[in-house]
Formats: sequence, C-alpha cells, structure tokens
Amino acid sequence: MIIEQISLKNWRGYREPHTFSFDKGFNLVVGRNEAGKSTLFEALARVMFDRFSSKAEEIRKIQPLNSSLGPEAEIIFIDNGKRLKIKKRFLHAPISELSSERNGRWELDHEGDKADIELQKILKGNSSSRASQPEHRGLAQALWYLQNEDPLPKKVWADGIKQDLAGIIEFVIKRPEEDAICTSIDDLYDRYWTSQSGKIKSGCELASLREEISQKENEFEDLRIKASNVENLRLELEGFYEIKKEKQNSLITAQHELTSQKQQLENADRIEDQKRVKDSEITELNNKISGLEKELKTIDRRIKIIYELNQKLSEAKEVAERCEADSRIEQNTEEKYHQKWKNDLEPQLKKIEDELSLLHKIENLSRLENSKEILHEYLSKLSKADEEYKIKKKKLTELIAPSKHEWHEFEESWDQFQRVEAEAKASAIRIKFDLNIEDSDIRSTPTASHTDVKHEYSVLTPTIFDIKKIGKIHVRGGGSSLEEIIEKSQSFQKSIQNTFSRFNVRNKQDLSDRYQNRIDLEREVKQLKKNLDTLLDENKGKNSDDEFRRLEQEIAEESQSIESAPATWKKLSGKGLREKIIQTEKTKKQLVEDIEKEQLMEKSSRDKSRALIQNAIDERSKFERSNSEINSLNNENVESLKNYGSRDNLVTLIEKNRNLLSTATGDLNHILMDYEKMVVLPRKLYAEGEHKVTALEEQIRTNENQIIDRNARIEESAAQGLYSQISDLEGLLETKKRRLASVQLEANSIKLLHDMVIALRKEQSTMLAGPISELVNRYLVMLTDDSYAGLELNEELLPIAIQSNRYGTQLPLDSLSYGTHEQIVVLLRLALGVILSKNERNLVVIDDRLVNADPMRMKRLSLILQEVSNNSCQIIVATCNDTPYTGIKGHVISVPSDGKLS
Amino acid sequence: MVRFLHTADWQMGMRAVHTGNKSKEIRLKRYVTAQKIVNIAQQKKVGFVLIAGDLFEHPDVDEVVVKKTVDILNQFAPIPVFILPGNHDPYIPGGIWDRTSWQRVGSHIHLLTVEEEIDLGSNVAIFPCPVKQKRSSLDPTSWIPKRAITDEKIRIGIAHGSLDSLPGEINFPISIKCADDKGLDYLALGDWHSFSQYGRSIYPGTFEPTSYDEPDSGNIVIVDIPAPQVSPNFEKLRCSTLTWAKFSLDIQDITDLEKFEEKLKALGSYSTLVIRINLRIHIQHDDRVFQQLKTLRDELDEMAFFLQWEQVEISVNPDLEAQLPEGLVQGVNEALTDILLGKIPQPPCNVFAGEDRAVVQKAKSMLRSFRRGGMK
Repeated sequence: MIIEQISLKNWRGYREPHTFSFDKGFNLVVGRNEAGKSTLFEALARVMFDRFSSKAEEIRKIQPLNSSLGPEAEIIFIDNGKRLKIKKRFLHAPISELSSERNGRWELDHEGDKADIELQKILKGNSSSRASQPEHRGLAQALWYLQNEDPLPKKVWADGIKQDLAGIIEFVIKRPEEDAICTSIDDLYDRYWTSQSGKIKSGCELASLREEISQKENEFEDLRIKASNVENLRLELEGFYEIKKEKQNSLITAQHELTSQKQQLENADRIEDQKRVKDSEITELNNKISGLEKELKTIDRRIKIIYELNQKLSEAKEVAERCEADSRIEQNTEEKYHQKWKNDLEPQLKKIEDELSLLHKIENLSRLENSKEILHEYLSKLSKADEEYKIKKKKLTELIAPSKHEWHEFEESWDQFQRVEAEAKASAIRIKFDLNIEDSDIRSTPTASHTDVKHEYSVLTPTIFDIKKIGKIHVRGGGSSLEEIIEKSQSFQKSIQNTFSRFNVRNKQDLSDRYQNRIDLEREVKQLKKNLDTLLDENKGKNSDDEFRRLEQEIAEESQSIESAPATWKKLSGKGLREKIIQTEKTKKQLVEDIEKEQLMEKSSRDKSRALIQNAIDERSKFERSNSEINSLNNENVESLKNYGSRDNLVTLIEKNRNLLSTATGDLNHILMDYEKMVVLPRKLYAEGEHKVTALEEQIRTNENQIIDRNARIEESAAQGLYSQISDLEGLLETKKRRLASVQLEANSIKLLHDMVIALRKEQSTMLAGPISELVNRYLVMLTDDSYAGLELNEELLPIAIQSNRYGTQLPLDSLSYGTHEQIVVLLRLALGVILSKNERNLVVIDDRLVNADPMRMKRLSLILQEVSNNSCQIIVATCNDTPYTGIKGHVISVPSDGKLS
Repeated sequence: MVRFLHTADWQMGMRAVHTGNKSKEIRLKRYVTAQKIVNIAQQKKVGFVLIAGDLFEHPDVDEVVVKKTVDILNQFAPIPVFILPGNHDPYIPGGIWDRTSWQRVGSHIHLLTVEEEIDLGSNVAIFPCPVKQKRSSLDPTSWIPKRAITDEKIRIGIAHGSLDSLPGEINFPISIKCADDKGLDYLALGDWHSFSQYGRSIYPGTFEPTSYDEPDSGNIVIVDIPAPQVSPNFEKLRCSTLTWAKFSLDIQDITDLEKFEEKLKALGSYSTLVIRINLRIHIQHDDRVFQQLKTLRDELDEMAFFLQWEQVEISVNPDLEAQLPEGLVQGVNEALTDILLGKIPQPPCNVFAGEDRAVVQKAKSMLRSFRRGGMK
C-alpha cells in the first residue's frame, strides 16, 4: 500500500483544508518545528486505523483549540493496484466513507462501521473501538516509524507481519489439522510440565504420584524395619533356646556331680567326730593350763604386792611422826601471834578508839551549837518578816483608794464624759451680736460662755440674752439631741463627782494618786508575803521550835558525855580538833593493820599445823590400810595354795599338763590331715556344686523369661497386623509405581513431542529471519563501512545482538549508541519494507528519526533510502533540515506551505 | 485300605503384591478355597488329612490369619489332620506354631515336629520330616528307616522340599528314589506349587495359585492305598477359586484379536480371572482393531478380578503416516520414525536422537492418537 494524497481540515494546526500529494518513490516532508509534519502522519494513522466513532482522548486532542468542528481527513491510496479513498470525520457528525476509483470516478463502496471494517481487512489491522496503538496497525507497525512511539515492539511484531513474511518467504503455512494436533500436544504438555521452565508441574498426576510413592516408600521402610525387628527377635529367641538347652545340659551335669560329692561326704562325719573329740581334749587341757597358770600368776602377784606394801608401811609411819612434830611447832608459833595481837595491840586500839569517840563527840557538840545558833537566827528573821507583813497589810486594809476595777470604771466614765462634753460643745448654738455695743451690755441667763470671737456666745441650754437698751433675746435649740447630750454629760459628771466624794478627793489627779498609792502598797504587801513564804520554805516540813528544843537536848547530852575529856581537848578550835581527830584515826589505822598482820600470821601457822596433822592422820590411815591388805593377801595365798600344798607343787602340775597338751596336739595334726582330704575339700566342692546348680537354675529361669518376653513381643507384632500392612502397602506401591511408569512415559513422550514442535517452530522463525538478516546486514555494512557486519534476530524477528568487526565479537544491542541503535532500527524497518514489498510497493514512514546520524553515515543512509525507494517502497521522511537528504532524488514537500487549499 | 487327603502349600496370608490393591481380596479368597477342601474331605470320607508344609506364608503373618486358619482346620474334626512345618512356616523358636492363637487348634490337629514314626493304627504309619529352618541342603527324609522285611504296615512319608532330579542347588533336596529306598507306600510332598507326580511321590501343588507361573496349581489329591506295598490310587481334584493367567502377544489384525478373545473366554468367568496382558499392536489402517481392543479392555476392566493391561504400538506403516498433516507435525513424526529406525533425525530434531525408545514409541502412538482425535 502506498499513498497519493492526504487532505485534512480542522486537524490541530490545519484549521483550513490542506491537501498534500506524494510521489510513489522518495518523499521528503520539510518544515520547521511545530510546522505540522508529524500532524500529517498522525492523520494518516488515525484515518487508516482508528474507528470513526471513537471519542478517545487521543482523538479529542486533534480538535483545534476553541473549535467545535470535527477533525476531518481524506486519504487516497493504492492497494493491490487499486485506487481507494478513505474519508473520515471524528467527534462532531462523524463519518467514514471508503470509495474506490472506477473508470476515473470515485464510487462509495462502504460507509460507517462497514467502511472501517473493510479498511482494516485491506490493511491487516486489528483496531478496537478505541484509538489504535502500533500493534493494531498490521504491516504499518513495522513500516511506519513515527515519533513518540517505541523503536521496536517489546515482545513480538503484529501477527500480520509474520504471516506476510511467511507467505513471501514461501514457508509452509500451518493448516487447521496441524493446529489441532499442536493444540493437543500443548494441552497435554501443560498437564505435566510448566510452560516457562519445562519442570514438572506441581500438583499434576506425575508430581502427585512421585510424592505419594515417596511417602509410601517411607511408610513401607518403617514397616519393613519393624518387621525386621521381629526377625531379630526371632534370632534372639533362637539364641535363647540354644542357651536354654546348653544350660539345661550343664544343670544335669552339675546335679550329677553334686550327687557324687554327697556320697563322698558320708565318711566325713566319723573323721569330724574324731576331730571334735581331740579338739575338745585340747581345749580342755588349754583351759586347765590356762587356769593353773592364771592362779600361779595371781599368787606371784600377791607376793609381790605384799613386799611392796611392807616397803610403804615403814615409809608411812615415818612420815606420820614427822608431820606430828612439825604440827606442834606450828601450834606454838600460832599461839605466839595470837598473844601478841590479843594482849598487846587490841588494848591499844581500844584506848585509841575511846579517845577518838570523845574527839568526835566534842566535834559534834560544836556542830550542834552552831546549828542551834543558825536556827535562832532564822527564827528572829521570820518573826521580823511576819510583823512587817502584818503592818503593811493592815495599812492596805485601811487605805481609801479605788481598786483596780473601780479605777478602770472611773477612767471609762471619765473618757465618756470627756467625749460627751466635746460633743455638747460642738453642738452648742453660737450667737454673735454684731451690734454697736460692748460686751458688758449683754447679759445672759443662764450665763452663756464666750467663744474666741468677739460678741459671740455659745449656748447649750435655752438662754435669755438681755441686751442693754435693745431688749431680750430668747435662744433655745431646735431639737432634743443637744438636750440629751447635755443630760448624758450631766449624768457622767454626777457619777464622777460621786466617785470623788466616795474616795474623798477633789479631782481626777487626787483619785489617780490614791489609786497609785494602793497599787504601790499592794505590790509591797505581795513582796513581803513572798519573802515570808521563802523563809518558811527554808524550813519546810519542820517544826522550828521542836528542832530548837532537840538541839538544846542533844547539846546537853553531848556536853555530859565529854565531861571526862581533857580540858585541853574541849578548848581546841575546830581546826585543832579536826587535826587531832585525823592524828588519832591514823594511829588507829596503824593499830588495826598491825592486828590484822598478826592475825594473818596466826592463821598461817594454824593452817600449816592443821595440814600437818591431817597428813599425819592420812599416813597413819595408809599404814593401817596396808597392814590390813598384807594380812588379806597372805590369807588369800594361803587359801589358793591349800589345794596344791605349795607353790612349787602348783608349778609342777602346770608342767605336767603342758606335756599332755603337746601329745594331744600331735594327735590332732594327724586327724586334720585326713579331715582336709575327706571333709574340707569334698564339702567345698559340694558347696560349689550347690552354688553352680542354683546359678544354673536361676539362669534358666532368666532364659525362660527372655523366651517368654520375645515370644510375647513377636505375638504383639503379629497382633498389629504388620505382615498384611506391609503386603497391602507393597501392593499399593506396586500399583502406584505401575501408574507412575505409565504416566512418566506419557509425560516424557509428550515432552518429546512438545520439544520437537518448539524446535521446528524455532527453525521456521529462523528461516523467516534469514532473508531479513541478510538484507539488514548488507545495509549495515554499507552504513557503518564494515564496522558492524551481522545483526542477529530472534525467532520473533527482533534484533538481539550485533556482530562488531572492530571488536571481533557480538555485542548486545543496548550497548550501542543511541544514534547507531536508531539507525539499525531504521535499517530493519527498511529491510522489512523491501521484503514485504516483493509483490507490491509499501509505504515506509520515517518521522524525523535520523537527526543523530553524522554526515558520513547520513550520506550512506541516503544511498540506502534512494535504493529502497527506487526499487521497492514508497518512502516518506519528515525532517526540519533537508540538507542531509540533498543527494536523494525525490519529491520535496514543504509544510505547511505546499498544502494546497481545497 | 486307607484313604486320605493330601494337600500342601496353602500359603495362608500370602502377600500377592503383584496384584496391587487387589492383594487383600486375593488373600481372602484362600479361606474360601480352604473351606472347599474341608467339604471335600468330608464328602470323600477320608481317614485323615496330610498338609505337607507351608500352611502359612510366613512366621509373621497376622494374628487374624492364624485365627481364621485355625477356625477352618477345626472344621475338619473329627478327621485327624497332620500338619508338617515347611520352609515358609518352619518349626523354629518364636515361629508361627508358638503363637497363642495356634494353641486353639482342636485335638484332631497334629503338628508334626519330631522325626519319628507315628502309628496311626489300622496298620498305617506316617513318617514326618518337619522343616526346622528356612534353608537347608540336607535331605529331610534321610532319617526315615528302611522298611524292615517283617514290616507289614502301610508306610506314608510326609516331607517338604524339592526332589533332587532338578538341576542346580535346591532347598531341602529330597531323593527322587526316597519312596523306593525307604519302602514307603506313598510320599506326600509339598513345596512345588504345580501338581507333579514321580512314581509314588506326589506334589499336589498349592490349592490356590500364587503367581502367573504355576501351570497346574489349584488342586488337592485324594489317595487310596489298598494294602502295604501296593501301588496307591489317587484322584486329582481341582479346588481353586481364582484363575491366574498371563498373555504376551502381537495383534497384527482383527483376526489376532478375535483369537485372543477366544482364549480369554476359555479361561472361564472373567470374574475369577487374575490376568496380565501385554500386547504389541501393529499399526494399520484398520481402526476397528483399536475400537475392539478398547471394548475388550473396558470389559475386562469392569469384570475381571484383577487386570494388568499393557500395550505398545510397535510397527511403522508409511502409508498410515501419510495421513498426518504436512508441515510441522509431519516433521515431528519423521524425526520420531528416524529415531526408532536408529537414524539421526534431520536438524533441528537431531538433538533428540538419544531419546529412550519406549518414550519415542509412545510419542509416536500419541501423535497418531491425536490424529485420531483423542487419547485414552
């Protein structure tokens, strides 16, 4: 399909109708930015692929600003040699009209939706009711490289492209039967395998069977282990039976041996009796010898003790006598000390104590007399204070003076009187006579008092003023208040006068003096009373008179008791007396010490004497005891030897018995030789045999218990139905495994089929890609001067890598510069255009896409564009700069100026 | 004159694992057959019953198996039953015979555990050869004394093992001349599961088949011995409940299939069949084969006691393959055919040359099945 003409109006900047014509070869649309180049291509795409009824946002944007008219465009194009015209208006009064040229005239073939549908069929488009996207535009997706659209589709080209390519490249097109088989393969493949990774699909029968079998195998293994445990138990049991058999044989042998040993022991009793008799004889002899030796030993011990006691006896006697003599000496010494302190020192002490008593009495007498004097003095002071107190108290009683209360009452009356007086004065009527007269000419009744102002009087009561030569003036107050004040004043005055008369004073000062006099007297009486109380307190609780009398009696008694005292002592002063007493007490102390010392010596001698006496007594007692003991021991020895006659006889008897013992021991040794052989050894063997039999019986019992235990465990296992469980599980596993084998085979087979289909499909795609790659690569060599040689396309005919001759390696496409990448995309689209235009020219649009090419590359690209436009395709290139394209022969369209107005 | 029933290898509690989830039902069928033998013994008025080993499958069989078997054996009463331990149920410590449940057997049941002559009265003696271990290379009948010149009894041996006429090493070998050498009137044997007779030595075989490879199993024998040293008469009686069969054959056309169906019908009711079928189906134009096969399989699936069906389509018919649509599917089919023929397929399918043949064969079958419009 190529286009001849595009007319448009009310389309963005083209408000007025414009018509642009195109050559079937190379067309260069030139215009400054915003001139409307891309608008032309937009109109081309929207009219060819968008539904006329679409009100999508993209369509609304076409409407010129502030215009309500529907955007409208008409395109004349040639498809399959047929000249066709499509006219569409969008939004407002939309229309779609598809016409074809017949005999030089346009005839309307279809309109509305049908026109849109027919047009889609022609263009192999796939547009929905919304605005079309590149993938809806059939071949145009590959051949129209418009602005604001991706250089390449993300995954695949539109279906129409591959179909057309396949048709052109003569690959076999799929048939419906093949499709059905391939669908069956895909469906079955999807049942077992994941489409992405080709792994077994989770939850499919194959996976479930594998999982189930694995699980069952584990269960089976557990059961098998349990079963093998039973087998082990049985093996153990076999061993236990073997042991039991062996032990039973051993027991029988041991019991036989025991019987034989028992027979051997029959002679043992006789030998044992002989041994017992001989043992008894030897024991008896030993006991006898032991008794005799013990007796001899006792006798000898007594003899030795007697000898020792005799030694001690004389020693005790000697010690006792010596103690008695020493005791007597000590008694004499004791008496000497006693005599000294009793006869000599004690009388001296008595005398000193008497003297000291006298001295103390003299001193006491002096103290008593002193006390008597102090008491006397006190009593005088007390009498005087009492008298003074009584005088003052009497004076106070006789005093005519207000009490404190009365004084306060008076003061209060006085103050009130003063206040009322002032009030009366303030309330008094003041009369001033402004007459040409003298004061003396004015008389008042009662007499009114003058104020400080001349001829002015103060009137408190109704008053008559008699003014000489003028006459009388009666003055009185207008209300009762002044009279009440005057009355109150008089009342207070009367009360004050009464007080004055009661206390016989003339004025307040006198009364105050009287009151002050009372206060002073009262204070004085109070002080005297306090002094009297203090004096009384000094002798509180005592009767001073009794005390005085007691002192006098004591002084008399004491005076009598010291009558015998030397006169010099009586004359001694207090100090002299005290010194004398101290001297005497010192003498007394010395005497007491001397007496105590003598008494101590006396006591020491007495203690020594007593100890010596006690010692002598003890020694005497010891002597007596030893003597008695010797007698007793001698008697015991006599008694012991009574049976033997003498000690020598006893010694002989012991020797005789020892000989008998020696003979008996020899006999026993002979018997013991037989005893060891015929009694001890057989008995030991018998005991061992008995022990062996017991042990074997015990072992057999244990063994039997083990057998019972293992049998029980085997039975328990059988009761669990282990054997059939294993059988059932094994059967189930067998079934599952058979099913798994079948499913696995099916899964593997379908995978093989699927993989083969994929491989063949891939080869198909590769076959499609081949011619395209070849053409692109030729252009690429031309464009890059052999820097890049080969563009690798994937099975979807999308470029994935490029062979770099400079680096000798393949590079990923995204490693190229933006410009190179864009140029490769242009080359790919040109190559697709060339291939797809094998039978009919197709339109290739390149909307301002080569701006990043350098001049050299641009020149080479121009050559390629020229070749393609000459041989295969209609090409429309939009640019704002036509210089790089000057080398190309073609039709140049200036936008918008070349748009002819219809 | 003495008449007795000789049976062996009951294998009670048998696993029958190869029958998958039917194994339990197969185990249960053996009780039915055992019950039939009780009835036969009573009908035939036998003097006693000999069970020549392997009454039980294993010493570990479930308690319920022992209990049910004892219940059936007790129904023989008052007919005495002499049971010999075999290599599957040897007389070993902790073995089946020690079970408490076994102790419930009636007094007519006699477990033969000692190698000693047992006088049954009426001038009949049996010579038991109990098996006391799982394996042995010693002849269990070796202990049986030779007939004394003066011995006028009917001497019956009972043993479990393999006659030494077989090549190679065998378990519990028994001299094929035993009966002659020892002067036995009859040697009642067990161990072999198919009926076999060697003079006066007879294997009755198992009373109920245990596998597909037992051509003449499912019998018991009624033996009549008129007098000492007189050849015994015996009657082989079929008693099995199930019929085991396996087929492995090629189906090339509809005739093959019809012949196969005839063979199946000859086996009796499908409901008693335990059957394994392996078919190799040759590809052909005639879709009737596939249709009829499907019908047969559906029928067996529904009716047979147990069915194991496996089939492969093996041969390549170029004419048939031409029916596949040209293009991609045809390419896949050609690649698969090449692999089966041992060739390396054309690229890009050459990478699949090493695929397992079974997988390739199956893939080919599936492709044809898709072409036919579906897969089972």
